[in-house]
Amino acid sequence: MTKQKKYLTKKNPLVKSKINHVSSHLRSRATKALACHAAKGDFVLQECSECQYISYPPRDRCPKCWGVLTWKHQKRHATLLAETTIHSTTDLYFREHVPWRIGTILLDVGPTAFAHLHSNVQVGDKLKIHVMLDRSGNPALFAMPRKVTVNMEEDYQYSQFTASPKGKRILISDGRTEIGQKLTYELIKAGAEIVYLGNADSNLRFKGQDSISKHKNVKIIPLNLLSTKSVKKCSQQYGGKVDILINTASYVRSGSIAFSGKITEMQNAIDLNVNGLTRLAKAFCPAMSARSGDEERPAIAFLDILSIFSLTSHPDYASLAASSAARLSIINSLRSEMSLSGLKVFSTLIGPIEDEWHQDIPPPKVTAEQIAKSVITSLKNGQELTLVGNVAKDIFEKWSANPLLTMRETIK
Amino acid sequence: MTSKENILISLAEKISNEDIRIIDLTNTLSSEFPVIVLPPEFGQCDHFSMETISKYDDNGPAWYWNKISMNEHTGTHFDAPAHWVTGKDLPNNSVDSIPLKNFMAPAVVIDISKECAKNSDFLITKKFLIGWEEQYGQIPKNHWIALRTDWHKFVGSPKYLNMQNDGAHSPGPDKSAVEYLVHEKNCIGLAVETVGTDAGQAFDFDPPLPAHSILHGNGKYGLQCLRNLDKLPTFGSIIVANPLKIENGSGSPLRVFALVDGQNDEL
Amino acid sequence: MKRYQKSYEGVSLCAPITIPYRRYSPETAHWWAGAALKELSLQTNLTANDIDGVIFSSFSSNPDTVVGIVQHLGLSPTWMDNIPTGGASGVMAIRRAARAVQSGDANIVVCIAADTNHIDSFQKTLDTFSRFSQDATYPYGQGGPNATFAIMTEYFMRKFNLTREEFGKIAIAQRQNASTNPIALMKKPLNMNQYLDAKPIANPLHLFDCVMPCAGAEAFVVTTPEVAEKFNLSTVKVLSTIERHNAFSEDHIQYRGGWVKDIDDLWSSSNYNPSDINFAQVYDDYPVIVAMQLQDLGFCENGKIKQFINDTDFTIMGDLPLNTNGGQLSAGQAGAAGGYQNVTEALRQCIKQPLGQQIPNSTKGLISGFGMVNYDRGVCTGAAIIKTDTIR
Ligand SMILES: [Zn+2]
Repeated sequence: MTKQKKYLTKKNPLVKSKINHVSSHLRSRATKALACHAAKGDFVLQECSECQYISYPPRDRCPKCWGVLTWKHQKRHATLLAETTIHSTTDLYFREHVPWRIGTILLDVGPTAFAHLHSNVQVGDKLKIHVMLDRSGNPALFAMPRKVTVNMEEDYQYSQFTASPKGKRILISDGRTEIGQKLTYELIKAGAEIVYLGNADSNLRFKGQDSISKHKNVKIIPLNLLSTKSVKKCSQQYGGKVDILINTASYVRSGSIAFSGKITEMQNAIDLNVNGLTRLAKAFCPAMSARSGDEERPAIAFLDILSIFSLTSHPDYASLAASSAARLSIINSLRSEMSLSGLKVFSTLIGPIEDEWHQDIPPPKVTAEQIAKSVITSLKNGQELTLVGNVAKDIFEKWSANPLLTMRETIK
Repeated sequence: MTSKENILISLAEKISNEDIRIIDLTNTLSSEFPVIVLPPEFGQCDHFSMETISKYDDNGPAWYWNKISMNEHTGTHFDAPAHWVTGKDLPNNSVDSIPLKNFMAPAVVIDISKECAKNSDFLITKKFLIGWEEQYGQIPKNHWIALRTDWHKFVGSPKYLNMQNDGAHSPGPDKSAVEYLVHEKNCIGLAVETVGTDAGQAFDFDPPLPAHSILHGNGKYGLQCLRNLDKLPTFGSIIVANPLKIENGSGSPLRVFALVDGQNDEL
Repeated sequence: MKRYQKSYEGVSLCAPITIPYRRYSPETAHWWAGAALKELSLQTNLTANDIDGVIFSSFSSNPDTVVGIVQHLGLSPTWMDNIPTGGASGVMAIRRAARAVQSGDANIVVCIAADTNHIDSFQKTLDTFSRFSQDATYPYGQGGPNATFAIMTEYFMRKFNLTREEFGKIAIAQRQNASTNPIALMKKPLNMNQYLDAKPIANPLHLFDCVMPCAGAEAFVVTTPEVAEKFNLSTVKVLSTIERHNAFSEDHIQYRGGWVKDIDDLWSSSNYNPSDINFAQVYDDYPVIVAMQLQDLGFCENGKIKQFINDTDFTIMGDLPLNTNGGQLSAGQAGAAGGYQNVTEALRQCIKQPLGQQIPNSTKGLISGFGMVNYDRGVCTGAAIIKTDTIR
């Protein structure tokens, strides 16, 4: 059983929070490519397309035959050959986290590599290797025990790569929707200390309000993403105690560009989906960044739930697709900015949801429950990019293979 | 000096001395101020929103200004006849073409606050108005008809829109009352504290939304989201309501105030 | 025995120069290189006009290489080379300069290694050290090579049944050697308890297993016996050399180096055996690398390194005087200059001009270099056997 980290309910107000450091950002292009796979939770290594030699660290040509390398899914199994516990290092991030264990692993598929070690693994043990993204957003191998044990994801070193909701204070931007509420219940089930649930309009009651507002781990708070003032006010009050922020807000209306769509709907979509996200990030991320290195109550993650049509456009949901594309772009810019402070930025790409605004879209559609469960999994696994529902997965796969063709396929 | 000038000078003096008091009938424009909610398949009314361009900062070291946006019908606002389909072909039906003299007119205040306190759906009828006239005197012609409901006291709580599963519940006039005020009293318009001149349930009336339909179809105006109607006398106040000069505008947020003779202060 | 390599006939190593190290220096690598040239000219009367060959090694001269140094310091050589291999650069400089002199491409080659150490130099060196390190080493918290060598040490200890005491013996002997070297940065005596109880760095490495980065410069001259005589310089002969890079990439963790591949060539070309050698100057960024070199270079039977360390006295008056100036572990590691100090100290012992105590019998020496942990292991290795020629 993994030793659990105990969270204090309150931090000593007289103790200055540690500034978070992230390790150097210098990485080769090949390693950045590895990061893209790691973001999806995939375990890949480069394989020579000519001699099939599997190599590591990331290279640009095969060291055996100088053939071209491609990233391929690989078996995660490995053995721990040797280890060390770092007590002293000049690395500013790790200085704050020593003692820290690393080791040399021998992957079953061939290469050796340095890896961060779970506290349950010892030299000679069989391992399961994950490519995680570290606090600077760069890929790193993490060696887990092959055998699943109780609370193993609460390992101190592993938890530095994830954003588990357990013991965390979480803000959900829009609690008026089914997604916001399902997510709240799932987060509490996963051990969240409190969920601050945003309510954009306290003048209007919403479905589910009565039961969720009675929950002892839920606090409904005024937060209207359309109002800079409201978002600022909310961050002034809660920015110092939000560890994970999840943006569930979305404005969805059907409509095309030339005929059925309205400029005002486009404006509304952009104001909520784009400007709303920006307001949220501007108001909360600086305060969260400042606490991302705090030992007791670190701010760890910003997660945005957005439409898969951000990748492709959608002729009948033109404003949703356009604003989601902007949203994806904003998240990417924000991720780059936050990689300097160590706040992890997640995106959850969803297919059309089963709600009143997607009536024209045939099934399969995703439910609020599916989305909520995926969000929890991605936080627990530190997986930056998650796809929810068959539509999202299908579009992403096609888009990864051929983006222009996939965009064209959305044309009738 | 001509006698006409004397009247204005003496008005100015009285305002200055507070012999004539100015009552602010306007709610503050802010993003929190509620707006009317239509069934979701229709376009919606935007809340007021404000982004700071600069506030003595890098974007403007010595000056402060904001970019604001809103619907023509956000906050305390004026409805022009063009707002409704019934008024679409009338002359001078938009805010930029309304005769200026109509921006300043006397008001009669009909207090239905007690009735509304008991019944959120209270409907004012022609019968009620006639009964009222018997008690308080004739409703004068060419007046704003101001409905004092004390509804403005609900601003900031869900009670203001009072939205339930079957729609909003707030007071307003029925068809008979609007027709009486328009055709027999030639009113300037209807001035209310609620978010619309019509009752919350008026979507289901016959005709739907009689206040909008009949008032605007006859070139009359609406004033919504007012406050402080409880500070006006029943008779004798003047409402000043100047909408922005928006090209072909259907309405406009505005600063509305009333002139009240200090000697006649009922409070 | 079969001779593999062509002889180094007609080559003289001379004029070892060491500019006293400093823990931190506000000066640049160029300044330190200039200091080495200045000292060289004072000791030998060589002028810029005499120098027609230049080799330069540095980690901190960025963005300049030998090109920038030549112009910066007013040299006009007919031949030059830049050797970026850190701990292997001294041996490689001997090899390249010797062949240039033999072929006549250059007549007087000055080999210079210079590095400064600003407060932030260490981090800057790391930032630009190697792509594999950036991608696959530093993200694991190493903040330098300590953790990599810790893993190698841990593995080496298990494989060859060593304990920390054996490494302690090496570190303590070198500290004792340093005590006679007036310019060694660490001269305070070290005993086994202090070694064992030192601050942990990365298990099993503790403080005295690690070198102290510093600023410094080293230089020597490679020329012909005729030139050496003209300038009245004592000379040392090169008997044999080897060099190997990226050997044994199939080993999961490094426990041997490229020397193993070419050891027969080294010894047979020199016509000596390890037992003939009077002293060894081997690269010593960590004691494990010293042990690895002694084993790989044939000072003991493969797998018997534990016994060999326990049986051997490495001090100046001992069986096999080792790193007689204190090595980097006690004298300090001045970047790439750390890869030349094994050469300069070996030359000084051969020509009897030591910084500290003289080895009684010091005609035949071994120099070994090891450098560049590009990723998980040292890539570059080399070694040379030298012999006293003329002492003037
Ligand atoms: Zn290949």
